[in-house]
This record gives sequence, C-alpha cells and structure tokens, in this order.
Amino acid sequence: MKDIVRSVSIFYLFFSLLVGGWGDSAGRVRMTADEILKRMEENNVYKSSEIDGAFIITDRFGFRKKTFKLYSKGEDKVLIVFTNPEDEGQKILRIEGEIYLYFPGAEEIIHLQGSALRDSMLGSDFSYEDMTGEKEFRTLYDVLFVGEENVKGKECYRLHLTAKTGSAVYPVEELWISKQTFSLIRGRYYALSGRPLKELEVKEIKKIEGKFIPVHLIMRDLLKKDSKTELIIDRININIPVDEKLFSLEELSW
Amino acid sequence: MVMQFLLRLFYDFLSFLFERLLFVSRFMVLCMVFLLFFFVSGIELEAESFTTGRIVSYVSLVDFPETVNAFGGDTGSPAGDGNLFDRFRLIGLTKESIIVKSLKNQNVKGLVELSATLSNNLLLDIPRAYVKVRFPSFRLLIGKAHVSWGEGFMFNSGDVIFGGNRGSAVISCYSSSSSMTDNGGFSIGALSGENGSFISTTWLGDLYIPFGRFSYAEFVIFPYLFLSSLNGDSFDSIESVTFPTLKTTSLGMRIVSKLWKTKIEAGGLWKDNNLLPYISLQGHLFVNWSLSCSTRVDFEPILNPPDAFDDFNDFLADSVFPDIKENLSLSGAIYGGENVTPFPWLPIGISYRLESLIFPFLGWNEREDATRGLNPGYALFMYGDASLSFDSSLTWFLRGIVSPIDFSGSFYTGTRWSMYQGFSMIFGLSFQGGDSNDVWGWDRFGDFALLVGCEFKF
Repeated sequence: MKDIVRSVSIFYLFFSLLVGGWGDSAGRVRMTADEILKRMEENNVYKSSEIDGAFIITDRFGFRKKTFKLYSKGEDKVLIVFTNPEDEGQKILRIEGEIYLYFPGAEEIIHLQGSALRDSMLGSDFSYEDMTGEKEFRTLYDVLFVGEENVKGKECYRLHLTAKTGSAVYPVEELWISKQTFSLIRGRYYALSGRPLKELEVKEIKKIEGKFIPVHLIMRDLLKKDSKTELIIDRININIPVDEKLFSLEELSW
Repeated sequence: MVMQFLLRLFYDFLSFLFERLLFVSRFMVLCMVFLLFFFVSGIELEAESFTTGRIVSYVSLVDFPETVNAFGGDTGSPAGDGNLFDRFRLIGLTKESIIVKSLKNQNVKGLVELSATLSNNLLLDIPRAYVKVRFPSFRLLIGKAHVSWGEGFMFNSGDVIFGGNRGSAVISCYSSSSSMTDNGGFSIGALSGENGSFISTTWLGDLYIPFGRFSYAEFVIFPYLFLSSLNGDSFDSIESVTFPTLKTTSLGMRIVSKLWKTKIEAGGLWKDNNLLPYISLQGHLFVNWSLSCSTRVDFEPILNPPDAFDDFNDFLADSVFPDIKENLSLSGAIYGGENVTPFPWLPIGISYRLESLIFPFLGWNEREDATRGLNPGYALFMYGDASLSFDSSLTWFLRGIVSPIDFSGSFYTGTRWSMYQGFSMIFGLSFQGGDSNDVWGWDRFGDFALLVGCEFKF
C-alpha cells in the first residue's frame, strides 16, 4: 500500500511539474498551465467582432498613424480594411490559414502563403500573422508553467510555450497572464535559436460582455532599434451578427 | 447662394485658366469643376465621400548621348562629345492624382480619379471613373477601370486584355514617375502593382458572378469609343461617325477558382476576330509561385476560308497554327518575403520577385539586323525585383529587366526614405547595358540617369 501511495505521489509530482499544477504554500491547488491558457483563449475568442482601431508606428524619424476597421468571425476568419488616406482601401483577408491582400491602386489581389505571412504589416512591428492568426494556442503549442510574477503591479502567471508544429508563428513564446482577468499582460516571442524577436505589452484592458479584452497594446520588434507599434482599439463590438460574405474574394475586391 | 457664387467663380476662373492658357478641352474643365465640387461639398458630406491625393515631384539628370530623343526624333541638341555638360540634361516633372470615392452606400460605389502631369505644360487624364453596383447574386461595373487578369507584375501572359509583356517599358528614373515610386516600408506592396506602375485602364462593362468564397466568373465587354471620332467637341456630328459592327466588339470571360491551395484561372478574350485564350495558376511550394500561358487563334481564315482547299488539316497548318505558335507565351514568377539578420545590429526585411517571359517559337539567337530599342522577336526575357527594408522607413530597391539573348538590360536602383506620414524621399539611379542594336544599350537617351524626388500622399 505504501508503495502504491509513493508511486502515486511521484507521478503526481512529476505531472504537476510538467503542467504546473502543484499546490502553493497555503495549500491551495493552482490551475494547470493548460487551464490558464484555456481561460486566456476564452477571453480572446469570440463568435464575431467588429473593431475600429489604429496603429501608431514609431521609429527614429517620428510616428505614423494608420487607422483600420477589423471584422472577425470564429477563430480563422479576419478582414482588415485600412481607412487612413495613404492606405485607404487596402484590405487583408485571413481565411483557412492563408492571407489575401487587396491593393486598391492596382485593383489586384495578392495571395500569400508561407514565410511571407511573417513579414511586417504596413511597416509596423506587427506581422500579418500577429494581426490575423493564432488564437488556438493549445493546439499549436506545448505549454509549461514557469511561475508567478508581478508585472507592473499585476499578479501574473508566467507560461513557456514551445511550438508543436512549424505552422506556429513563433517557435517559442513566453506569456504573462493576469491572475485576476486571465488576459494577456505581456508576451515575449523567440526564434528557434532562443533569440528574442518581439515583445508585446498590454497597457489597457476593458471588460466587454464578460470578456477582458486588451484595447491598448505595444509591440516592439526587438531586432529593430528604437521601433515600436501601438495598437489602440477605439471601438469594439463582439458577438454581433457579421455577414459571412465579408470573408470572400468578392468582398475583398469590392 | 454663397456656395453657388463660389462655384461659379471657380468655374469661370478655371475656364479662363485652362481655355486661354493651357489649351485643354471644355470637357476637362468640367471634370475639374466636378472634382472641385466634390472637394467643396466634401466638407459638409464628409461621411459620403473620401478624397485622397498624391503628388510626385522629381528632378532627373539624364544622359543624352546623341541628337535623337527617346522616340527617335531630333532633339536639336548637339551630339555628346564626351563633355559631361554637353551630354547631360536636367529635367523635372510633377505628377498629381486625386481620387474621390463614394462611401455611404454599401451596394453602390463610385470612383473618379483625375491625374495630371505638370511641367511647362499640362497633361490631364482620367485614368479611372466608374460605378459599381452590387446585387444579391452578381455585381456590375461600368466605366473606365482596370481589370486584373492572370498573374504577374512585369510579365503576365494571362493579361490578354492589356498585354502580357510590360517589359517593353524601360525601367528608369526619368521616363515615368511611377517607376520610381517603389513601396518602401511596405515590402509586400512591392509584390503588387500598387505603386501605380503598369496599371492600364480602359472603358468597359464588367459582370462579376461570385459562386463560393474563392470562385467567380467574370464577363467583360469593351464598347467602341467614339468621342475621338466626333468632329470637334459637339455630339451633333455623331451621325457621321462610322461605328463598327457588333461582330467586331471585344468581349471576354474568365472563371477563377481554387483547387487545394492553388488558384486556377482560365478564360479568353474575343477581339478583332481573334480569340486569345489563357490559363493562370498561382500557389505555394517553398515560395509563392505563379504561371500563366496564352496564345492567339486567328479566326479570320476559319470564318472566311478560301473557296477550295485540298486538305482541311493542311489549311489549318498553313493558316491558323503558325499564328498560334507565334503568339504562344508563357510567364512565370516566384515571389515572397523573408526577415533576415546578417548581423545582430542589422535586421533586414527582404522582398523579392523573379519573373520570366518565354515565347517558345520565337528567336532564341541574337539578330544582327535588330533595330536598337525594339524587341526583334526574342524568345526570352527576365525580370527581377528585390527590396531590402532596414526599418519601417528606409528601403533600398533594385529592379532589372534583362534580354538574355542579346545580353542587354535596363536597371533601376534606389532608396526610398519614408520620413513622415505619407511623405517619402526617393533617390534613384538607372542605367542600361548592351550594344547599339540591342533591346537596351549604353548609347541612347536615358542610358544613365540620376533622380531626386519626393512623394506625398494625403
């Protein structure tokens, strides 16, 4: 009997270390890394959304502002329409893991697959993938609980994610997730070599229809000097009716 | 009343300016007033229309090695004798465009684009002016517009409407401002024709029928343009215009769909008793790729065969197949973007495009009797485009078009510096290489040019 208890204890300890679900000093059982990620995904995934927002791209020469409207449905359909004068009418459609770009001047659709998805979007620190992809962390990554940290006054869980497949945007990610709201507070994204590529910082979160949604974020491409892009969401409606036809080539070229 | 008075004043002023000083037609003046009205009314009707402007100004130092200009005419200038001050000229140009788009109605869209090239004279154009209407199961477009058929930037065999070989254009920093307006800071943009280069438009009617998320059929018809046949600006002389019969009207159709992850497009254009069929494919295998193929079938001999011939196959072989072979063209492209870090302190975003154009039944050997500057019917041309983005505002680019058969080429390299919102500085250098009878060469107008320019979008 003793052996059985010992075996179960060792198994529990090993499993807990693997997924981060061991008890704390007060005897409370913490959430597993997978549960934390699931709660964060629940904040990130909506049936549909309609967003008005802006990018503010800052580099050594100053800043540029690009405004946009974003429509999404489910986890894999996103349409972004730029509204600032320089880029007015440019559209990005993400569907079935592929990206289609529409350029109104040329009235042409460019179909992108592969590594081009990681290219910078309109010169910002966000890539096409950053803006339109990857909400299903648990299917793309193996996750490990690292610990708990205080990030700018917010108690956070720190998770370490390793990509299961090459289709993930970043091979390795570290996420700091608020213990209170289960929303992302900070993210750091790495190359396979372990080199940090980008850093995301969430400055403001709003509670909308029971979900904690970041409305002011800063992305820094760590390979670029003195470069950052702020993403500011001015208006967001979630779980509203969004026409399925929006996510088609017909709408893209309209 | 005040608005009416102001409009009237502007109309009179513009009429005087244009009619007396710039010699443009009343039609153009009305277009200007029309656009001005949009500007003025746009203050009150901001939500209903959207106006964007673009100005490109540049100064070029261009080599004139001989007394001929780019079109073969005499410039009146002395031949270059090796003295740089005799050979080089400083030229300047400004190009403006204004685009007014309707916004309010989700099912009806209107767009008017007015462009002007300004030097010591004014060239006005309306590249685009159309209305689009969306119905539940189809949409219509009527007006002057661009339709993008096939795949390819410089070479697109699938573009049977506007012609698949845009390589006849010299890539330089003096011939057109569009050549210099590379999309720095937006590397993917360089993969498309977004910079305005090579975008042709024409008057057309377009019926677009979507079926599914990625599939649609498109029918286009190109009406006869008769304004230039009128006697003066008046419609009174319309009865004297000889309109072509419906038999000679150009029309085309295409079907676009997707199989697995590959876009498939097939269609054709009927024009002057010729059928121009084409097929285009676009997909991804390690890199993004596209392929297009087209030819021309001359139906004239089929529709009007000789009274008697010995063998129908011989008749086809003699009268139809040569035309098909001669016009058979294939174009292919690979393109994409990568982020690389050659040194820890130097991250670079690379975008690239490589294209080729093949006419398999044309000449694979250099012709000694070729006329300089003209394609004597060579079978192969190649195009390359690469841009390196050092950060969100600084881009270096290199474009080149090459004729491997006569070893000649035209190249354009430069830097685009996007300093402020919508504003960019461009520094460019273009040059040609080749012998005197090659497609491109050292000994002609603009064989070497330097450019400094700026672009502002607002």
